[in-house]
Amino acid sequence: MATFLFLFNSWASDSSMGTLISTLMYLSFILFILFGQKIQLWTMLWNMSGALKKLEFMSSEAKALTVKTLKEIGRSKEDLTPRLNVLLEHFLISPVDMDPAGIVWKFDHLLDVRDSKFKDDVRMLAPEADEVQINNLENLVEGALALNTIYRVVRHFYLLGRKTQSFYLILQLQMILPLVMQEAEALVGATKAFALGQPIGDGIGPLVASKLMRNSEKRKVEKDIVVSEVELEGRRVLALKAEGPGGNVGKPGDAIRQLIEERNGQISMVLMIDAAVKFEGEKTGDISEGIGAAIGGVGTERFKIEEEVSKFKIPLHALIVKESIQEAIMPMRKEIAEAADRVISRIKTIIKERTREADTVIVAGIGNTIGIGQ
Amino acid sequence: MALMFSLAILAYSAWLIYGAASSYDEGKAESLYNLALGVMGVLLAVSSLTTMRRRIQAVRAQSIRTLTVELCEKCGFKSVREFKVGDYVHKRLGPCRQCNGDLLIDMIYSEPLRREGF
Ligand SMILES: [Zn+2]
Repeated sequence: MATFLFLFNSWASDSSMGTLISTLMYLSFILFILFGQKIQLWTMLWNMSGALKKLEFMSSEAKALTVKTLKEIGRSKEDLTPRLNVLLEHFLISPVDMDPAGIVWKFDHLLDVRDSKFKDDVRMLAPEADEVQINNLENLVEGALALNTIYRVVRHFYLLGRKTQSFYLILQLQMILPLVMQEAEALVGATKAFALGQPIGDGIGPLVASKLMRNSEKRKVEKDIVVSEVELEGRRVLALKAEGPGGNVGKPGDAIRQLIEERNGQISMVLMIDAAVKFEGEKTGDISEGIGAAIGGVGTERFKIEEEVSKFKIPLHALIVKESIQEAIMPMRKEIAEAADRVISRIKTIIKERTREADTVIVAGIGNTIGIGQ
Repeated sequence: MALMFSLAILAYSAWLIYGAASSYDEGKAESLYNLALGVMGVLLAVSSLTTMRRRIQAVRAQSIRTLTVELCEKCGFKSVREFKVGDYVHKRLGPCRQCNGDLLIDMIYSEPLRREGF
């Protein structure tokens, strides 16, 4: 735009048309005063339609990748697209919170139903996949679903803004668009990682637990969680993580409760390891210490852990590894993978300072264990 | 396309500045105007070129590769290779190539592809 004005100006200066130019200048000035907001609106809509095209592309790419992976692994001969389309518009209605007592168990139940429904559907789409692959494929479908939802929501507000010509409606979308695009780009990275079964940044918790339990016997407990008893600094450590290497987060809340109940509350400390969102400007892979249940999601697992530890008055500590929202779902970066050994030495320090010898400590590695065995 | 356009503007502006400088001696009033236009053109072209370059860099920063680190716990033998489907951390890979210890996958991580200058 500015470049064109420049060209025009330099051409005009060669011929002697000073009056015409100044008239045009005045005219454009008046036009800008009268229709400035309209012009701004058009440019915003124009920018947004570009972003929307990009989102549409990302969403359809993710879908194509999903179909391709499902076909490769599942060896299904029928056309999967119509069935996948149904899955990609799947929704969950959260329980009513007017009377919030007991909402956690309702939520928990709905999440269980959703999880098993997704797994069954994926199993139907890819009949020959094994359990690990089913978990990865389920994650992949979830990623494609998230991208599809972002695309649909942005398109909704774009079309609504264009229809109503409402400056403020469009402005709102324009304000959050950079963040939305970042999220979408991260999801594209995530779907690639899920399709290949690569560890993602969120997997740092399971990675630490896996390193702890590397050479000892494991057993399965509540809902897709494995536990192993290891000795660390003279303490008995119960390390737990979701069962890998398929994409899975398990239900650590249930597992921690089961372990505490089994020992009648004879646990000196629960230590949770998780990835957490860093602030812009902080270094990826840095470690922070704190108190509380370090676990994401809607809050059902956090609730269970908080209930259980407060029932037996067990200290609840947390170690988090800092990473951005994007890094958490993209393939695990080197800085994050290398943080695992530093986390383990921090764990040793904490249990040495805060517990006595022969005490029992639960160390829970929270996060998606895709690409991480045990 | 946009690159060609920016480069053309850059060339034209340089020519304008050159013309202004050479006609300055003859004392034409036009020369100052041409000089200003030339400087403006250079600035515009440079700014659009840097935006383009930044965009290309952003695209390039997104391309990553994933590596798998194999480790033998007994002798400490270590090797790094490209990630293959089916790899996962702590997967047992069978006997080590140097001793008869267990070879397993120690780490899987991704890093940005090396940048070979612009
Ligand atoms: Zn060896």
